[in-house]
Amino acid sequence: MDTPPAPPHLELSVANFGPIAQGRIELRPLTVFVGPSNTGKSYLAVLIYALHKAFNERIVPSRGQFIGRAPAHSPATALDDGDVDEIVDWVNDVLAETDFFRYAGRRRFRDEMPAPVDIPEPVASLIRPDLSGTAMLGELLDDEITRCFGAEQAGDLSSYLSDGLTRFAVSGKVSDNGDHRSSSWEYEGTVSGQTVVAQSSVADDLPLQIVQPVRLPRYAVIPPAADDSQEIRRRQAADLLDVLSDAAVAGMVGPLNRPAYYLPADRSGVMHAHQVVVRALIASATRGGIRQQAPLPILSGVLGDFLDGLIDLAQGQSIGNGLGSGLAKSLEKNLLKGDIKVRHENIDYPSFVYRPDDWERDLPIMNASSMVSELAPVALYLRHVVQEGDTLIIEEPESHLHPEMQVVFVRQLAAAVKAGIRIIITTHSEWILEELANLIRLSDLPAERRRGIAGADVALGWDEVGAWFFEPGEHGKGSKVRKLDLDLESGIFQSGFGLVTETLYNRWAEISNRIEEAK
Amino acid sequence: MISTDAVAVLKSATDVRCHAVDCRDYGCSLDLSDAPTPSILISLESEFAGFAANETRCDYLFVGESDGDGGFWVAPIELTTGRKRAHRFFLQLSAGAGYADSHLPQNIAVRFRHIAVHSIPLHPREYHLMRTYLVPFRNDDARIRIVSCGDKLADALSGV
Repeated sequence: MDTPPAPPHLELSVANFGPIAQGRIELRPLTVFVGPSNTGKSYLAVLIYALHKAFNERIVPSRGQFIGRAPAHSPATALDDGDVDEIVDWVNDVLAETDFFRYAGRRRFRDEMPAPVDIPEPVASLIRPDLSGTAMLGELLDDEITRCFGAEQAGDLSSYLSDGLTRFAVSGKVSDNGDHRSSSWEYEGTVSGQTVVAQSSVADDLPLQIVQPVRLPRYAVIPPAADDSQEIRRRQAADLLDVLSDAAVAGMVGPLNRPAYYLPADRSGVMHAHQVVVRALIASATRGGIRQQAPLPILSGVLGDFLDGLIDLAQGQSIGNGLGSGLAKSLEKNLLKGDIKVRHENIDYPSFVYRPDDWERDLPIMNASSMVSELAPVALYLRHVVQEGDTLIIEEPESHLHPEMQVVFVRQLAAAVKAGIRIIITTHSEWILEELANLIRLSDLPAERRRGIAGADVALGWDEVGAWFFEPGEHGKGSKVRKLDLDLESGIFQSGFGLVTETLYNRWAEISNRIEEAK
Repeated sequence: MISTDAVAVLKSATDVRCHAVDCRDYGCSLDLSDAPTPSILISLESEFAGFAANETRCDYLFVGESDGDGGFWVAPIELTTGRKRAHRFFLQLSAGAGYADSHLPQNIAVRFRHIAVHSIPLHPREYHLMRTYLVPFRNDDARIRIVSCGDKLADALSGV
């Protein structure tokens, strides 16, 4: 079995987006956002989450209604006889023989993911026009972005620091190792008025692949009988083209096509209060006729989805499906010193409990330490929800963790990355950055010489980690995002924490000097 | 006045060819605007400052009248464009303190400040280490102040 190829190189750029004036980042297996408060770290993380939601949950196309197709385009009539033959023959002769078709009902494979299948150029050339234009994802993206931010409308996300055009763009570059050519695609959203207008473009030579199970219409893969009219074959080909276009998007956008999960900064509070909140909502819902009219409060999508995820855990919808049972176990063993469990109650709403090592009884999360309630959702998501290739976004993983525990937690995150889970974190912790620096440096040491070094099995390659600094703008301007390089001489990312330490040190020095002078 | 005498004493006790008007080392400098006056800036890197070629010393020694209290600012200064360890700063500034001790009159009041100037902040651990470094000058010990290239000497002295 071939090793699955590395995900495409993904870049995300934004301009005049919330507090961010300008920024360009790469999405790596482990992506880190660092910088002072109010510079847009969470804004960008939520945007990435919204893009995942939009791409991952896009409507399955059918009968020419593919959301990536320009509305005026009518594929069935646009296909000539040669196109029809290319599509139908390739699907029947090649694609239908692969595991991608065989296991079409599964979103994920139990064993190894099959090697990608290249879509031949004659078919790819028919798909590419569907992937370019203004209709890609359509209103879905606008809806997801406003929902995830808890905004009334996308226009609310325009920079409040500039009158410039608010835009974001995600782009991918595919390199051909054979002749070092590269080809790219870009998906751009601009906020026009109060809505997001999307525009996508795909290079004429962008290679397209099938990378995940493809659910083909049954009738479409039955070889046509000799007396079938060409018109039937044409419709068959048009339907297939819709499905292939959708499948090609999945291959093109790579990780963005996979689910993402967002653990917000206030997750420990939610872990404490979720039962109360949901019960209050239920009680309120049953008293609609007698309660006074009150505006419905808006919950940001990331927080709402997190709450929703907790409810899913209760209903057993995600129980036992996670890739990371071992990762969760390791987290419990190395950090929590106990187990996190979901307890089902009569109202079919979950409570979460913590069983410290050597204890005979469970402890409600709200009675456990703040570190436990902080990390409990991470353990639960790893155990029950997150799959290989999925993205886990964690705001401020250092919250409530002693520096020593932060360091251990970074190694747990690195283990998750090694297991194929993509991680995005926002952080204010120099300890986290320092341990990341150590793990990256460790990758330069041959494996046989790592014995005895903590984290030896989770060293992260330089290309696996991307750290980005959100630099505050001067004089009320928005922040700028720049890449943070690991300085080999000092062994740290120059993230500005040193200046804080320096200021503190200088105060100490000045106070001490004046005390000395006063003697 | 005592202060004027002290600056004058230092001026006369040192070779005029090591007197400097700019506080600069390669791409790093300190801004001397608003610096206390009267004053003298001595380049200890100069061959006319009296150090042996390989002898440890800092880049400059600044001596200037302190604001109205009849004493002097005495400030050994080390500038660096690269990265430097706290201990190296300590050694070089201590050498500057020794030079000041030997060239300044004994009967003057001083406000002693060592100034380390950098273009790249130190590693956070180096600041912790720096807290342990006390540079002796006569009967006092003083801690090193750390500032960035381009900062004003006046601010570094006053602790702003």
